[in-house]
Amino acid sequence: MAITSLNALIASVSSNKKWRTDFNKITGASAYTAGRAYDMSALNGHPIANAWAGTALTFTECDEATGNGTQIFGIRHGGNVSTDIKHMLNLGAITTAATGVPSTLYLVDIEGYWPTVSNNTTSAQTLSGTPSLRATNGEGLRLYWVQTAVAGATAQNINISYTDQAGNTGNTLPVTTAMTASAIVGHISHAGIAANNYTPFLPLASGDYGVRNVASVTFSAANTGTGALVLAKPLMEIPIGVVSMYHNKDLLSQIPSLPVIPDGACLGLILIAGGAVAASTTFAGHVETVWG
Amino acid sequence: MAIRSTKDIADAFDGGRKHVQRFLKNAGTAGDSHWQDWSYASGQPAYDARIGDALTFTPFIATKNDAIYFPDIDSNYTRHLSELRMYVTAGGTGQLSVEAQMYDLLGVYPLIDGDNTDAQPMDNTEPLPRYVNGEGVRAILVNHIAPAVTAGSPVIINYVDSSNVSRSVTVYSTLFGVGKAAFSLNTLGVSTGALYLPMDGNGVKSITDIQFTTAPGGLWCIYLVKPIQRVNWRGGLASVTQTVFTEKNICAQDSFSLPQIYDGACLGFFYLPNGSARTVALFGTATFIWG
Repeated sequence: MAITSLNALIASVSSNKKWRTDFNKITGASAYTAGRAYDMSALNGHPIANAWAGTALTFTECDEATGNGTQIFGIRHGGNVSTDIKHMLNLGAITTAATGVPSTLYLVDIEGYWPTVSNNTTSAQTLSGTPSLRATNGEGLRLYWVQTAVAGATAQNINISYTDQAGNTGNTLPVTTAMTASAIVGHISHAGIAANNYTPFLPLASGDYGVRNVASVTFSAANTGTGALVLAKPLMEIPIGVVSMYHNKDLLSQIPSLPVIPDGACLGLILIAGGAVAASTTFAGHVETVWG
Repeated sequence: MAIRSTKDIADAFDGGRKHVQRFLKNAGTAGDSHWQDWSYASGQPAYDARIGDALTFTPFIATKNDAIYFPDIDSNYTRHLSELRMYVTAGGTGQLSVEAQMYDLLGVYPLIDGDNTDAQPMDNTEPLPRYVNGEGVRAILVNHIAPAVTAGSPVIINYVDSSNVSRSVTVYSTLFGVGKAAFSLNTLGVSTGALYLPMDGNGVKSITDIQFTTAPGGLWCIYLVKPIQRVNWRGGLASVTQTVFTEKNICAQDSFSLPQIYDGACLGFFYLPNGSARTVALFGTATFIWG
């Protein structure tokens, strides 16, 4: 089945084929920097924090029902509905602190991650596991590095070897991509406004628009710290421009309309800071889905 | 392939053929009702004073993140801009609106000498890198590096239009400052709101020469740009510095006229603060899709 008309949408809503979940996340003890991006899945609040559980360097799959197998950290969206097709109907967000604006939240479906990858070696670190993906052939999947233990002060660049959406192996980043020295926990370390920073996703090789798997991660210099390499599909964004005002995105009347949320999607958020965000800033909101 | 229907757009989003790029530029030069290039402020994309060999057309082909970044795509796809979001951090309570014009910078004629009253011929060895015949290409006269010191100096610009017809336009110098579109249609050298030089024809292919009949001083630059999309930010709230986002979904709000973005496009903004002589900072995203 599918929602192909307003009639079908109204019928689904009227028959309780819909779901709403509210989220409420609070940033940690460190302030955020303008222009940088931060993972919100590991923040305290609701849903619970993602602690990046899993075996080092091994792909840890994530889904709605079980999270990463240890923490059920994804924003719930109504469970599996196949053979119906689930869509995002609307998305809302608010911050309670003046320093929380301007900002933009990216909603992503976290397919999984490779945890405990060290910043502290220049050797290629081989990643293992064969992701079983919700996104067909990995189309639309992007990669980002989340700092899970504070980085040291040494500058370094990141490179990876990955398999693209067409199955081509051995692709590498097309440009020099710089990590951030002394990046705090939660910082998507290659995101910022410094030279060679890319925000929030790692750039892919020419012609690529998806990732199936990653073979290895290599740094140009050794630095202390560890991180997780995350494989996720960006779904939509919502800007927050006014403190204490609820922002709402109606995805029926906007393009893209009613993005598809696959069974098992593990929904997380990325915060793009437009200004300096004070420590312990609350970001709350909701997702609402409908299926038919 | 191409984006030609709503279904094509939906397929591009659903198939992951999209990229949302964040941009952030810090406050630029103060100035009310003057168009200025965001390139002269820090942030990402980074500061760039539009330098090259004097009087020589210098093509701009974006690489990496030296302009608003977008991914390289396969040649069987075409890339389009589908949405812009912009938040302006006002410099004060009087900053109620800002116009922003996204451009694809094709190249510049840099370091034109404002102390020279001879005709200064341009070197056009390098062709336009995109929109090669000049259709739809507009020219902007910018005061860069060193400010002018005399307003109202006549500026005669000879150019070739997209039909290879030689033409001429006369404007007047202003004291708007570095990084700004710094010309006037007024002999006193004062006016507001003009961004593009008022040239005849369907576009500009090249600049032939420029002559200041009296010296305004400073250093000048002529940009050749392709206008891409305009955002009218109306987010200022009276009496407070609080502002709101402006979102422009080009599908829904501009008749599905998604501008095509060519490989190497050097994307940036000219912006025009209205309301008071304030600096502004720009934060937002640009969404690209391809199919």
